[in-house]
Amino acid sequence: MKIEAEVLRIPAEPAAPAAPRGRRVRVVLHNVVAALAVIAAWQAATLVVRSVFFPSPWQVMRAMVDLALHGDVLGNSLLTHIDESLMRLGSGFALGVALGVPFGLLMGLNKPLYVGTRAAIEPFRFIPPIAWIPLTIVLLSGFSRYVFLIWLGAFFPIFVATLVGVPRVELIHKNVAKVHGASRWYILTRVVIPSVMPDILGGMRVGLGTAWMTIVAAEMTGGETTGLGRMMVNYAELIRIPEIVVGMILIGALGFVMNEVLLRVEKRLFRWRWEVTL
Amino acid sequence: MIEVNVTQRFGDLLVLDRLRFSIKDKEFLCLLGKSGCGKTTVANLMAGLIPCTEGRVTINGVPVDPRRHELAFVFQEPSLWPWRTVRDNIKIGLEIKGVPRAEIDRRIREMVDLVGLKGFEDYYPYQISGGMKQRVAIARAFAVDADLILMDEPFAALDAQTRATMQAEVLRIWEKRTTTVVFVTHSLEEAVYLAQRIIVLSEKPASIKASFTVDLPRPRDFAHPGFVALRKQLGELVGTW
Repeated sequence: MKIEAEVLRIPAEPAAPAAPRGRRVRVVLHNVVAALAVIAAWQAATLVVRSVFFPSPWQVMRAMVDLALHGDVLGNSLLTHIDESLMRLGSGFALGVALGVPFGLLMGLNKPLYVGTRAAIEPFRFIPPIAWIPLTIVLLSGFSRYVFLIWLGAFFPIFVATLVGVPRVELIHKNVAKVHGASRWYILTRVVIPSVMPDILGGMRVGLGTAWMTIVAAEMTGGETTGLGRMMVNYAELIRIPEIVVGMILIGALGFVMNEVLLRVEKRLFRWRWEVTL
Repeated sequence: MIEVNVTQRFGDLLVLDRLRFSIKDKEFLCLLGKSGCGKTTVANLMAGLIPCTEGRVTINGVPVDPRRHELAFVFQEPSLWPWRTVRDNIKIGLEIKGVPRAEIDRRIREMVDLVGLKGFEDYYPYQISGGMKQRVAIARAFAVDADLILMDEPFAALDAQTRATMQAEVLRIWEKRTTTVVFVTHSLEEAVYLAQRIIVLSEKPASIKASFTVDLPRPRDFAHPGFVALRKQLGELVGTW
């Protein structure tokens, strides 16, 4: 048998095709229909229950328009509330990423450091951010208090995701670089970080959820007059339920949009992966 | 000239017992041994991936050091970085050594042509077949002007046909690039087909059992009497495995 040095061509699949336009439109349509169905069910329920404590979608919509056009009882516009909440959330969350990722990498790469300090670090993880609120009411005020609380909420999911991701980096991928004489810095930036990126993004999405949870709770107790959480409490005191529901819906919608943005980033960043987490 | 003179222990386990051999420049050497005999350990030592317990590996008299020498390794397991395209995987060694951009681009083009992956430069590893992935790994190894390329059973996971094609390709590339290659395998045929010289390792702790110079004409024919005779001789030496 004679073997020839010929090139064996194996047809590969085309580079990850974007979902066809038709399917994307259909997905959007399905989601719109599902959302409308929820609203319709809500409307139907209000027709059956008929209580002043159970506002209809229509009442909530009117409340939202009213808040947007004329502001709340204290004269703060709806946009101000949203803006304040987003600013606090964004700052605290950014700080959570900026500290969670490097600390996770540092501890993940230096196992003795983590093993030697875990008793000093880990217990903090089990104190819910909300449990920090009383202390921060005393010690901090305004923006700094919110940022601290959100940072607490976002930091640990991101830190832990990075920390557990680092030891799972494939040894063989590091060895490829080592054989060519790569520096520790090269291995960190070109092998370790790309390998743990999916874990980091996963941690960020969990952290985003915690961050929202924390900010609303913090605003409800805090002294400032603005923020979506504060607005809801203000209207609770007035027993104005439609306005409270407006706050709830806005929080849900904003969280949803932010999560979608992170998912898009994930999809773009991890084109190299077979599957992208949902 | 590469000289190996090592003893290796992992805890109480003696893996290599005063293993000593040398490789000439541009030589294609096959290390043949049963699985579990310590072949991979030899390859890892030669690549400087693990430190020697005793003794050392030198290249032209200098102890092997990935920063000073140009080394390359083709692993048995999938080793492409999944987050990089074919092109960016091939350039890893060049990038680490700080080769200028224009030169990197030129080498990538050359290697892509040589391994027959033209048109697949922008594909990610998950989009190509196992054989193509190993071809990228080979291109990555030959892209640097290596003092030594180590291949640790690079085709063990491939099907028989792809394997045969890849063996022929490695020879073709080696002839073109003339690099020193140490090829680790447990396949008698593979060793006889590829090698200029075969070193047969004993079972653990590994030492040299025999050494053969293979001067059969290339391209080698599996049915050639010399091929059959050498294969038989190796088979008797190592028993069946």
